[in-house]
Amino acid sequence: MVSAMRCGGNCEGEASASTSAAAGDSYHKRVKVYSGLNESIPWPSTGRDYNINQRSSNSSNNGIFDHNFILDYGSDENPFGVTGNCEIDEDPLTEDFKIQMDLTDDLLHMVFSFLDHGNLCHAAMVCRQWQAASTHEDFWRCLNFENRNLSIEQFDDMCHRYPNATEVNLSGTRNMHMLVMRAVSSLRLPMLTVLKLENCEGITSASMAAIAHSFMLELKAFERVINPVKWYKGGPALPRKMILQGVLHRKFDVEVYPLCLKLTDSRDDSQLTIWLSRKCPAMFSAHAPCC
Amino acid sequence: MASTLKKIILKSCDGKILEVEEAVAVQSQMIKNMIEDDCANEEIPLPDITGEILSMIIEYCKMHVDGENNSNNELIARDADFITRVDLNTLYYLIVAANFLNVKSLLDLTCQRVADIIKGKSPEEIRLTFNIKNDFTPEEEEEIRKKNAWAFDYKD
Repeated sequence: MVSAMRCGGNCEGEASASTSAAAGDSYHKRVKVYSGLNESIPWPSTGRDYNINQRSSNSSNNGIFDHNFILDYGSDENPFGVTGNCEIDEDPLTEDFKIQMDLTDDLLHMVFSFLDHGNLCHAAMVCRQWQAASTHEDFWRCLNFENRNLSIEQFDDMCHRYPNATEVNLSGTRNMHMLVMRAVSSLRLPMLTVLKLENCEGITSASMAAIAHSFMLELKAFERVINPVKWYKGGPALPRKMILQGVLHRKFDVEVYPLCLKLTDSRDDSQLTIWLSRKCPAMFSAHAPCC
Repeated sequence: MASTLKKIILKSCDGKILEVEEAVAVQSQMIKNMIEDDCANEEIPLPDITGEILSMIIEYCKMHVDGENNSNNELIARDADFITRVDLNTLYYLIVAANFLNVKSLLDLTCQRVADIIKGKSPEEIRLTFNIKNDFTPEEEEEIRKKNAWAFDYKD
């Protein structure tokens, strides 16, 4: 049954003997299921008659058989008029869906709000409407690339598509160092507030220094005294002074984009949260009267 | 208050009349608004909702009103039982009706159910399940596939 449907779907519009045979089987089953139901459920039998007519009128034209069937049922508001036939089947989903899941954009949006990135990406490939709905920026505020083989180009593309993302998780990514550098670039993700970096094998003292340099990050608060060696696995000592130096110049700094670094020591899973902010002289003058 | 025993009369598109206690009917924000605006004294016609779907929605609302004192877990279990008994056609009509009547919890439940059905399926499987036509050109499809490839490309 399932394979018959699969074939019917894939070969849509093609005249082939196997398609018509398979499709014929599935219709036969549909009619059988339906007529069984008809005895127990009082419902006008127009749906059934319609179905049979449809079958006979099209049976000579295998080429458009599937196609017509789908279209007709898509436009027919109440194709079988039968609902609740779950009682005849343990798993109602094994029954064929006779109408198109023709949801409005609002409803589709609601459905997609329950999906994670992987499933959203699959949904995007279904049809144009789903593609448009699945790329709504509401679903992509938090870009989770955890443990993915993400190329720089792919990351740039995602940043370009979802510039309003507020959270990026680059834990365990392959090019972590390069990706982190790009993630904190205000040109790419101006709304970024949280950057999650767990399993930071890819982060080196050089990348931390570069991040601190290029964005003039300043340590605002920390939960405990940072021992860089705790989360940074060996290698040269981290430029701790660099990160801390902002404290000395605090009075010059204005917090524009708070950035939260979540660091996890992969050896003992201890977590550390660092809140960073970005120095921005231009913003300083704008905010100065309020301070 | 005497009004809590008031009955609201609903009429489905196929002419079925259902009398519902107000406490149950107000699970629908739409009906609640109508009652507040004093527009619910006569039968309320509901176009596009069949008697069968309407009864299911009322069954659901009743379950929630009756189960108000039950634990959250119990309600979740009942919700799950209710929704997994529903086939796809019914599910579709339930979503549309729940949206029209604005029954928030049922709308969430049905949308969550559709999402659960989508989960783990390939695009082709999703199309087959929901009878959706692929309206992409092969080039467009390939481009989207490329753009989304990272989501399935795990390290190791």
